[in-house]
Amino acid sequence: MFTRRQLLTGGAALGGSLLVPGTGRAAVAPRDRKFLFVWVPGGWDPTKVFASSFAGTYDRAPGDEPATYGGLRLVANAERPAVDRFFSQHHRRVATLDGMLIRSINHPICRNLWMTDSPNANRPDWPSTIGHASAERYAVPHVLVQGFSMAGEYSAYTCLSGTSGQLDELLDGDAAATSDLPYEPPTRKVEGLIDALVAARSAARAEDPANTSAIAKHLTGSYREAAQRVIDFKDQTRTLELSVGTSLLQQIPLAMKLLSNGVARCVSIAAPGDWDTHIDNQPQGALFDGLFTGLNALMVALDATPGTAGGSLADETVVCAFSEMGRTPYLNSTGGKDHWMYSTALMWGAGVEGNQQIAGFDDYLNGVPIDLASGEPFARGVALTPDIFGSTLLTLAGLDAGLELGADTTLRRLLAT
Amino acid sequence: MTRPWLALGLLFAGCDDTTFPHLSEPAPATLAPDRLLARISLDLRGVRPTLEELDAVERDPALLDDLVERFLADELFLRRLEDLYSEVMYTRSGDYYVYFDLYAQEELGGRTEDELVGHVGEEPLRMLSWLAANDRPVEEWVLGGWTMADEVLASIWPLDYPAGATGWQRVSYTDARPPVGVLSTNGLWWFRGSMENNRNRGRANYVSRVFLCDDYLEREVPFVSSTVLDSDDAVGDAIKTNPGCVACHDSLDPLASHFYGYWWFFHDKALPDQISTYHPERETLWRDLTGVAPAYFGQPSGGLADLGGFVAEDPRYGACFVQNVWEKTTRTDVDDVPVDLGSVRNAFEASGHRIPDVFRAVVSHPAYRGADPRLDLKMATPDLLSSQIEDLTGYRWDRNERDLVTSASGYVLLAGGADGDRVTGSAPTATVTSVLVQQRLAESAAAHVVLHDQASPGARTLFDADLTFTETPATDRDRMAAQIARLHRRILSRTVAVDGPEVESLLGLWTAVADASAQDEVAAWSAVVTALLRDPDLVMY
Repeated sequence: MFTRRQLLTGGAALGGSLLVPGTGRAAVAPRDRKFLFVWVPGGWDPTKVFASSFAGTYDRAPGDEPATYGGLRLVANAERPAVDRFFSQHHRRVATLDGMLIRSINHPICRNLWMTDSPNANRPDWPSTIGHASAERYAVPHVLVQGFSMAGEYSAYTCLSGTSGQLDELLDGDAAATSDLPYEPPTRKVEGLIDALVAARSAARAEDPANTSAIAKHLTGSYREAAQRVIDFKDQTRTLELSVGTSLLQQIPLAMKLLSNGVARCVSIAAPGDWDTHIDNQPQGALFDGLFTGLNALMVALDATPGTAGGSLADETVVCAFSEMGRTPYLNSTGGKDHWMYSTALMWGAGVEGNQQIAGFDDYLNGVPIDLASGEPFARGVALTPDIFGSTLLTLAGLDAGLELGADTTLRRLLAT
Repeated sequence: MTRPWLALGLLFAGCDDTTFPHLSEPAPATLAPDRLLARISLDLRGVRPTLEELDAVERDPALLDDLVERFLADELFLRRLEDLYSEVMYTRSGDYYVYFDLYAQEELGGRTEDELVGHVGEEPLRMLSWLAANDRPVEEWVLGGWTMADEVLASIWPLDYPAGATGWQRVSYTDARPPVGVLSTNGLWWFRGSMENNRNRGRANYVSRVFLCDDYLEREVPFVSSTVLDSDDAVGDAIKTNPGCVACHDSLDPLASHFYGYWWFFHDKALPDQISTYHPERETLWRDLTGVAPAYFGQPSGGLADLGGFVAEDPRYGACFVQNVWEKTTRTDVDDVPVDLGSVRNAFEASGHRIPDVFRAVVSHPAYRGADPRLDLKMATPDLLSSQIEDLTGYRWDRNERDLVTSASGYVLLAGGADGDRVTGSAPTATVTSVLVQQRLAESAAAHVVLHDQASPGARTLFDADLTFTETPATDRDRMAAQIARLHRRILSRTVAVDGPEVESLLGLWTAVADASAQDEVAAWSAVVTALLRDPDLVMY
């Protein structure tokens, strides 16, 4: 594993870079790509932005109108200027995956399905899988600033931040001071001495020849990983403020630091707000505007933040923004919208071919099937499903999706040539 | 079993070594007596064995079964049972359906949501442990007009809690709720609700998942290509006629119709008067909201009053209890790690469905005792991390009287726990943050016990009575080595040689920390205890 010093001084050499012709952008090899996941928890309403049919069955808000941004046919509304600004400025870089079929309407199950293609999260989620594949190069391959974790067997490579600054408290020792019976934590020097001993004992435990079973090898090996990574993580984040608040504008700077400093390969952040609008769907418009205000800022931050291969983070980072479910096309009796199995993902960044809409919604907000090989709508094709989303992410990360998932259903059309 | 097709698949797969990877592994011998004792003690009491217990089993391994009986009779077994089932029910750490804001007002007790959850979330769990303590069949959990409450719950709910009493008592609600045990408790239905348009289906699935081990949500919704789902009415029709919907809703919706006595209209969910009492006048709201009468998997039901009997008599109920105890104790999933639980089920049946008998059979199962390499090692939960350190050191990491290691407002998720919402399954391995939680807890607990034991030579918690805390390796090396070896045995349930590498490395740490802290013996001993409490074997057993 690299130390902080090695990462900071030699990070630029980690991946070979080359200039993408005509773009002025430096590309990195898939194995060097970073990933940023933007959760929109609660279930966004695709009819506000992504589902552009005005054929008649959707309950539309006043002011909704069809809008075209390059190759993207979307929905605009003067009350959501940030959405318009985002697609006006960035449509060439952005792709939408519309009509994504999530075969559940329960929040936790949908989150599991989106991120693992399994309802009970038996399989590690995409960021954990991607992070684990390059675990030797990052202190903590996946950091959740906010969001949801299904790391499974790769739990040792994933770090949760907590919802109210818990990780910060633990890292700097303040956690002890705020308890009912506070004790001064050891000095940093003493902490270092104990850390070293614990790391040595963890390594010895992992290498104990008495570990004859697979589970003993796995658990002791994972403990050794986690114990060593704690030391590196404490070292690498000593100058970072990890307790950042809940807005995207607060989370984005931390995400940039974690990625650009080489602490993590994958970072998850989450949009705030109550998107689960069963009772009154009206707030979705403002929520989308707030979300895209954040995504606009994210674009700026990615362009402005140095990457580790000589360009900016925008050149080496894949971004996915998604909500675990959609909402019904019609308003219910309380003016809200309930859960819907079809949703959308936004993707852009390194290796992603922008300015295109994959699949789509029909007039009844059902997903449109596609021919997987071409990515074109095809009535007898397949539904856009989480395995396709996951396969595509793993391929973008330089992994063998077939090997990881049992079948490679990568959406080749999404990959930049 | 949530995926019966998996079992069938395995049956027809030829059962070769690749189908059952464990068969290709060398079978380990039964766990060594000290390790087995530690495992059983942690699983039944949540604490490490004492030095005396370790000595006894070392002298005569046959004493282990006597100790099992003693552990099952221990009050700590009840707390362990509650901890274990809290992972099934999530009432301690999950997201509550009702809003507690108004309870923060002085006239309503002035307690925050976090404080109230510390009491409300215990109600269903305390009922289960009362049955265990009083040798009652587990069916009584869902039968009868009783519950468990403490003085806090008694101050906010309609209960016949004895005047002047404190602590958890067996009591009854005094409103008109049907007598169906835990199925008629505020603790359960404050926690689990359903959005108005979901018509109590979340509650129905909760009953099915927790008590019958059949989680509708783990069933994938079949692809429904339809052009008619454009209104509430159309969805209502589809639920009754579309084969893809009927498969679940045909049984789920009639089950959901049992819970309208706990139906609160949206804004009512924050009103104490509304949510503290049962509403018999709403029991038939199903007529207007779904038109689906209460029924239990095809059998007509008169409503919630009948539900307890249906559940108690359902053969899945007892089987599910056995499965939950096995899965949570062994940290495995029966779908992923199938094991023949016939001996556990037989013990459960033979005992008349008594809870301790299930645990006795689990810890006696050959797979549990080391015959199955897939169960060779497991991770401790945050509960176990906290309870064993509290027992070893006398320190519990509280903030506002809530255990930070096990509460949602603290570190339970970072410690590897789950809440069924943000994190849907406990971390199966150590994580960066679980190691951090262990570290910070260990540091405070070590400082606490060293300061305590130094100041209380007559009432030591962890250290030998004759240690003076003035010894140094230069003057009393043998004495210190013996103490460290005994700390090792007490904290990690493992014997090490006084001149072995484990003791040597800890003596080296003692010296290095003393040198770095102006020969501060408290700091040096605290470092030694911290290192032991941070050992991987504390949380893998």
